[in-house]
Amino acid sequence: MGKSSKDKRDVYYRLAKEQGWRARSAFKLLQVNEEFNIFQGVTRAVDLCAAPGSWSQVLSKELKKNSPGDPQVVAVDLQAMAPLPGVVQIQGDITKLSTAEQIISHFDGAQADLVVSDGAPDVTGLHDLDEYIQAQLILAALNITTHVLRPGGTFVAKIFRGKDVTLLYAQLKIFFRTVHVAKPRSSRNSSIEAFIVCMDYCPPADYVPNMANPLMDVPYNVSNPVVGSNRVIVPFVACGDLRGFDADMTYSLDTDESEPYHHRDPTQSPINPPYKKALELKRSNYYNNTL
Amino acid sequence: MDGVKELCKGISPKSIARQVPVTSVEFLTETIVVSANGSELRVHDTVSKRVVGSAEVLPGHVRIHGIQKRNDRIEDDGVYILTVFGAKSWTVVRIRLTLTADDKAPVVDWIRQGLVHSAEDWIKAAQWVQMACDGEQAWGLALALAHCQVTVCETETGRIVLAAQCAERSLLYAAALWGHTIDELTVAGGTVFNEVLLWQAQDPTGAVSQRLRGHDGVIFGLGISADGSTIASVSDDRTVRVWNKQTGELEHTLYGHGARVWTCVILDRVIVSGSEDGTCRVWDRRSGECVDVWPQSAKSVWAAAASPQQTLVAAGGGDGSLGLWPVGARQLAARRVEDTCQLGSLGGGVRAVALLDCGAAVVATDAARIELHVTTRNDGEPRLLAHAPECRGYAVAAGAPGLAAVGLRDGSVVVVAAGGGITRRLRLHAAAVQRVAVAAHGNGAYDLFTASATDCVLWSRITCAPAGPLLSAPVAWLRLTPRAQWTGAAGASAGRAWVALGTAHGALHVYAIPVDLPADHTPALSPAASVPHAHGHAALSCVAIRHADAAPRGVAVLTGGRDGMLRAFSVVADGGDADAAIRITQITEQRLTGGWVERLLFIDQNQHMPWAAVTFHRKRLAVIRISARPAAIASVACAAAAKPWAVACAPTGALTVAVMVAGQLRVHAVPAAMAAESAELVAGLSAADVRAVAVIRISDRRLWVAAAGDDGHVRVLRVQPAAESAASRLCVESEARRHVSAVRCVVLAAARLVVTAGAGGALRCWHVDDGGGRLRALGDARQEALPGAAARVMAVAVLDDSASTHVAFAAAYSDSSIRVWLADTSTGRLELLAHDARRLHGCCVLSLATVRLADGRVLLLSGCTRGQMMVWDTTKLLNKKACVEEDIGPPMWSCKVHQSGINSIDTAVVLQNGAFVVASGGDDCCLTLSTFAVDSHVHLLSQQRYEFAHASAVQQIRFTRDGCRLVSVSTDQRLVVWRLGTEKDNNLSYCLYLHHMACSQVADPSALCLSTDSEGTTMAVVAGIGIEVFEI
Repeated sequence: MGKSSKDKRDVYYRLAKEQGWRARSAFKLLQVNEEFNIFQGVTRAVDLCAAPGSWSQVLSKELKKNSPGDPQVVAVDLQAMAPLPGVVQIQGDITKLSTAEQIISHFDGAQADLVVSDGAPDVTGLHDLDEYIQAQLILAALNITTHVLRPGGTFVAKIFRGKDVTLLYAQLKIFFRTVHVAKPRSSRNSSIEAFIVCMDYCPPADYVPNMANPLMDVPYNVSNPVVGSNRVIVPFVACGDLRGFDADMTYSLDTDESEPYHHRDPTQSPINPPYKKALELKRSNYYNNTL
Repeated sequence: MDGVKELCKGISPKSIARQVPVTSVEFLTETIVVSANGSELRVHDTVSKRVVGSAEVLPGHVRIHGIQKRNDRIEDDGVYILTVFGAKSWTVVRIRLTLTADDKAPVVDWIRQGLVHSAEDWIKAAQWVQMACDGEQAWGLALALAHCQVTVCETETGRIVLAAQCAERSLLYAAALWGHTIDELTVAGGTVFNEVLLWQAQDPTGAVSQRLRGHDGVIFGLGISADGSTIASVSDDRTVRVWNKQTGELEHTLYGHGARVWTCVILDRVIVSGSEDGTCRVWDRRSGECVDVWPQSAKSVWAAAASPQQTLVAAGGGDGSLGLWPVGARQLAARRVEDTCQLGSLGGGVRAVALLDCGAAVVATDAARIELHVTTRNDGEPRLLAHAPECRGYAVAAGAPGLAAVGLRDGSVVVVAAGGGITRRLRLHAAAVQRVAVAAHGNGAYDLFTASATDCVLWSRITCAPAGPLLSAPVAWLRLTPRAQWTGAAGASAGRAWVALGTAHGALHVYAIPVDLPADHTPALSPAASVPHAHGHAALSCVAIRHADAAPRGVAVLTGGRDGMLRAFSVVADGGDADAAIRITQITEQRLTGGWVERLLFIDQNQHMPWAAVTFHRKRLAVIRISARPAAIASVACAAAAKPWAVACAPTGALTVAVMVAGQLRVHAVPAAMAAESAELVAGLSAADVRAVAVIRISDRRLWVAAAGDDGHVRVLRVQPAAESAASRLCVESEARRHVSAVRCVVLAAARLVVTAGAGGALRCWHVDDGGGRLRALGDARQEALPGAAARVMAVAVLDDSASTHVAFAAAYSDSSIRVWLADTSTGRLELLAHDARRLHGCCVLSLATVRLADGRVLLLSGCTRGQMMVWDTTKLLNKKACVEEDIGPPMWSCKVHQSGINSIDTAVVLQNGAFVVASGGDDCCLTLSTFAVDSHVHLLSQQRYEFAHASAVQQIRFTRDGCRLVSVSTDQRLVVWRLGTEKDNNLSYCLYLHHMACSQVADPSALCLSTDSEGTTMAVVAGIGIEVFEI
């Protein structure tokens, strides 16, 4: 593949580089906000599984526009992340109570108005397993969210709309008054990803946040059957400007006639992939002398 | 709710055939394997290679992720007990086998399953354990759950006897259990944080007893050796790591897999790992060395299991394949110490090797020595044959039974014969010898071919009678075309009347040798006949000549090439004199390997086809016996074809294979009677996800379905719903590749023409051969770039196939355009009829459908990523005589019917009053049903929306042929059948009623096609990651 072919294939990838976002996913959060106005009145926001940091970038830029005060953004990830202005970074595990406490301490004891999570696991290709792992990631994010989110607050997370997505909807509807599934136009049509937009946080009366026990997805049962219209359903909303770019469309490289196309390198190149050592060995011709 | 009226009664769609990734395997006996095929358990007999039983053992929406046999049989009547689990469900299955005495295939008497129990969390591993129950010993089942939990259950009731939680609650990708009793039960969990945690189930504190750190990625699989001493972990970081379970010490880090590693199994002497790169690797437990590579699958290897006696490993692939690989006695690499001789004492690197016979290797080394090694012993000192400073850094060699030749940099050739007793140095060339080849004629007569320049080969004759001296004489210079590069492919007929050579550009040259060659000088001969691209543009790497029985005045030439093909040509001289015209015609061709064919080997005088081919594919050298059904008679791992290697065959049929591995020369002795070393119990279906399917023929309760996907291949699958064996209900009949990258659409037009389309704007035409099992490519293989080549073709719909000579079809593109094409049904030539010049959709067009009205008008419907549907009139275009590209014109109707992408549109029967019904399915989980009336305009009569038709994006919808039912599939893996009806109060307002539903085991289903046979039975073929056929 040539250097420009990914630019040609994916307009948002190109735009992200042009506009200085660390990843194309920045547009997804922007478009979710266009539809649901989730940034309105938000002064304290948490970005879970933040690396490489594009959603934190969006939060730090957009919150300033929406709220008069000085918005605070806390980004949490296991990995280290390049620093971002206006974003407090916590390198920690979202399943640990200490991480929740750290977040609260950055907000001077107050709770967050908005929690977002764009995290995704290492996708294996076995869809049921991937969907399960992704659901566990969201439930872990929800668990820490119940510690840090104020009642009435908003939670946005990436989901995989696979065969058991209903189980996840059922669990989320226990905690939020309104739950929507949003598909931003910057997310490819062919991708099973979508975003769950949960508004008006309202935990059950007897719910006590407890980090020691992971939240589990609920099983299929009589009130939530495998199939049929009695299953838990969540409205779907496509979001993003209809006149905007289409993630699936092949654009010619000169979209802007005033400025001719030139290739840009990614804003943030990937850091330390797990197979780094294996790749180094390959490059050093290690495999040529072995099986 | 939204007009969806539930009618979930009666039978649901029945899954009748399926092939999805094999996610689990287990041996029942040494010859019986069980494998997972979605929720179905299949029992395979490894001797007859047949499926001898199958049963659905888990609910339809659950995939089997693990099978664990109980290791003793308490009931002695052939009943095997195993647990099968997937997601949060588990059950106990009993299989009764009758092993017939008369060597017939075993019979599965019955498969019985207990209740399906639910665990609290995803089950990662299971282990049968002995426990005390009411004072008696009983079997319990230990389950490792995904949040570091272990439960031990009573197998009948599912009652939890013990629930233990590790002090850490990290999410696990993998787990393994070890222990025969509940007291010694040890749990290993591979976390998302790149660690392996070990703890004891009986420890009430759940303290982590060992923490194995070192992986750079998440742990996807774990294995514990039978004696509990060793743990192997496999990871995202492409390694296998081997740990001492007691001390937690890292023993080996095994690099070699080219992608992520999913699974591993520890045997007594080796570890077998399965990876995303489609291979299994076999690692020596002691040395940590990779001793073998098994190319199992076109996609991932998800599961592997060893037979009770560890003679076989079964591996299951992401392409649905199930392979059987021998370990131990029949596997060469694993017993290399006893069976192979490693010539490690060579001073300096090996430059070239040739085999004199099965026991003697002539080796040219960087230490300026040409040595003779006796390969049957490992300890013997090599004998110095010649000291040749020229072979420092450069040498080429070739051998035939009894004679070896080493070409050197100074143009000389060292010939070794008489078991190393005679060594002669022939000064043949002025410059470095680039290639050398030797052919034996029996009775000590040999042909030696050598070349130093690129366009001329010297042919010499060597005689080496048993007791006599070695005589050599140049016979002729054989001219090639200018700048041609000889590959070393050379062969001479028994009477030396014909010689054939091959070149790196795939040309075959045949020389007719005059009877009266001059003795005083070396004449130069030109080819009597040539085939310029006998192997396309791939190198013709080997050639052999044999007399053809049918043509006394001609010969048959066998050629092998780096395109993996074996071809046979007949060479016939017309007329009697020397100037006779020579005709070469190709007789047969056969694919031997996915890699290279490098040499033809004469193996057996007594056979009708006495040849075998030496092939290289995926780092293995295989010797394949050439016959109607080629079979590998030996296969050894090696570095690459470019490194020195040699193969020799003894009169007994025993083979000797010398290859370079890890910079060292290994000589393998292959016994004569060695059977094909691996077996395919189930053939792989597709290398990648299937994106398009179309029924191309129905006959005699059988269907032929063309399926294509991300790997660019188009396959014809045969579906036989009535077949008794589960495995033969769905099989690949043929495959072909003409797309460089992903194929997204397959449509059948005019009964015999198939159009495929996909990435790179590629459109290809095919002809369905008689019988339906093959697709024949139409048109030139090298297609010129068509308009729209920068974009992907997203959908194709046939507009008009009423003419016998031409078919008109529309294609939707990712560059927002729609193009109308005219295809010639005999040549496959494409002409652009019209296009949507203004690109009115303004975004990627995803779906197309057509409707032919009673008045003959043909309407085209299109849907895009923004949910806009448009209706176009194409009648005018189709009636055009000349092919002038023009604009399709403005749409007749346009409306936003979905919130986001319209993935699929279909139209149903035209109603009497000129109205028709259009259904669409979208990414927004929604189905719409629109009723249109047409005069000079299109009028929408009614439109129904079914917002929550599916839980996820609707991927494909199709009306049945009678238009009474609509079938939809979605990424929620449900197949829904809707009944088309009218509203009670308005018989012009059409609506859908939920009719039936079924869960599909095909993940990411993106293609659907329906077929109704003459008896009215309708089949639905769902394809995505795997294929499933339903009767609806």
